[in-house]
Amino acid sequence: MTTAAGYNFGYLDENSKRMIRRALLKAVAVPGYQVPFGSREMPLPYGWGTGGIQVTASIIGPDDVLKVIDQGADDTTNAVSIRRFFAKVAGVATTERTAEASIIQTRHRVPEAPLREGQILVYQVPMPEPMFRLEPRLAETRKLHALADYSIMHIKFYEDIARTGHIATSYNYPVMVDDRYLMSPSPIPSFDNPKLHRMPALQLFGAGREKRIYAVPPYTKVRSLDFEDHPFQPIRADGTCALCGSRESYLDEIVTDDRGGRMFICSDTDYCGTRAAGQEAAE
Amino acid sequence: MSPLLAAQGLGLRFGTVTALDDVAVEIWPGEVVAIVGESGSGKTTLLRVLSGMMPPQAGRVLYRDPEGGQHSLFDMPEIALRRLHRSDWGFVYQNPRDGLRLGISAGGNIGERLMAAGHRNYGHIRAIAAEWLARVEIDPGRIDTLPRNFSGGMQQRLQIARTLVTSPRLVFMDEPTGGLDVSVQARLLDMIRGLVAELDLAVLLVTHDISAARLLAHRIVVMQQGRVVEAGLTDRVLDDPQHPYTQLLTTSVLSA
Repeated sequence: MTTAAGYNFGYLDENSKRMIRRALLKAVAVPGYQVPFGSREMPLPYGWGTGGIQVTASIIGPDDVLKVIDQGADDTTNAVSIRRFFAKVAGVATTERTAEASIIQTRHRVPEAPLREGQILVYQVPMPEPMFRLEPRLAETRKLHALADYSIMHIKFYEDIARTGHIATSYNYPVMVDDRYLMSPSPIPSFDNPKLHRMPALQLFGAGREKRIYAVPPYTKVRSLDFEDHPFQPIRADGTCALCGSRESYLDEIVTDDRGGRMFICSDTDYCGTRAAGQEAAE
Repeated sequence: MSPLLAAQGLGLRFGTVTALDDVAVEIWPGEVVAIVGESGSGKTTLLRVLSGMMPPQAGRVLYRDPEGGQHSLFDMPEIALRRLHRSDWGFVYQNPRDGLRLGISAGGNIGERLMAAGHRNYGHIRAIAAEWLARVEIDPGRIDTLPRNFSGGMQQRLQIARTLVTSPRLVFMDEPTGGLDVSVQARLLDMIRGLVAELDLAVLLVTHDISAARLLAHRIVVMQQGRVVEAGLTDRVLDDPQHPYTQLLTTSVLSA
């Protein structure tokens, strides 16, 4: 494959890539710590995954195979556009298969299929600071991170339980990385949180608008915050996938008509498709 | 025995204004020391320096930890000072809005220091919060009420509960009865006096209210223009003032 004329490999110029790689190295060295970086203008608006794209652009090589998912799906606008973008500016092979990909850029999901060593998961992060709704001053949140003082997050959970009887956070559920830094896992469902723990793949997080990069190296301890008597409970819709019959995967609820009809299907399209194909082959 | 907190030779100037001039104070375990003086005499500045919130330009403050180790306050790392403020020390602000989280329920306010100290059991935290609400004479049934729906006196009592929940040994109070009406003041002072005796607290109290100082304090430090002009046992200082300024201060109190 050839890259588009007039563009450097991977769109970003080499100096920008080096700057981002330096930030990535620091992020990997200090798991969960938010490293500032000089976020570049990208040919798409903030909030559409500029952070994730810059991280992917700096680590991608000609031999990489890229998969992009948006809410678990390979076929939504955001995923299709980013995949085509890299096919154009880096000329890399793309795939929809989790197992075949060497780099997976994701928005709001972790693939159902377990990742292996050597794979890299790149998250698009809208707001890297887990405490920003509780403490609006970012200078102060940086101080709280430095002092490892996260009682403010527990107060939020305390208030949740006092009001509703359970921790009312179902996505973007904060985690402690390596028992040191409180980290936002990006708006993934809390269902995906356990997958972050000791994952064999490298996890990189890029926030373009907020200009922060952070990382979870392979096999790092990642613990969801909770109380002893109100342990962390991942949330999953109580249903079965209408297409592949899965009872384990994370489900999307789809409204099918205006008379209350609805169905559940897997949010991870590759997982669902692979299972459905396997069932057909078996019949 | 040695003092919990000892300051020597404190000096601080704001431009041409002298806020502290060679001030020395000691606080021993279990005693209540009142700093009195008129507005602008450097009372609150002294409190801020002694509690580590503002570094002085001269002098030093020594803090003794529960194990008996001495620390120079302004040589301590910020993380240690912050931990001190959340465990062994407490600070009660004049305005409860400065010391409370108004958008967080009463129980959450009391629980914050516990959670900062590492408590991770919801039921346990809640039980302690309810117990402390009762101790400061707030109905434990209001544990989920936001402090902004409390009266001024209740907010101040909640702030005291929130401060005392981790059993500090030393509490700084900046005009804790300021802005409250007289009957509420009396009840609050009575409650503070009970808690101080019960918990064996050392309190450094800043006040311009001589009667509050007489009621609570064992010792009194009188300040004028950044200097300590007189110090001694409360009864001695108030009944037999030696310095002209103290004499003026004690005679200015209106008796009802």
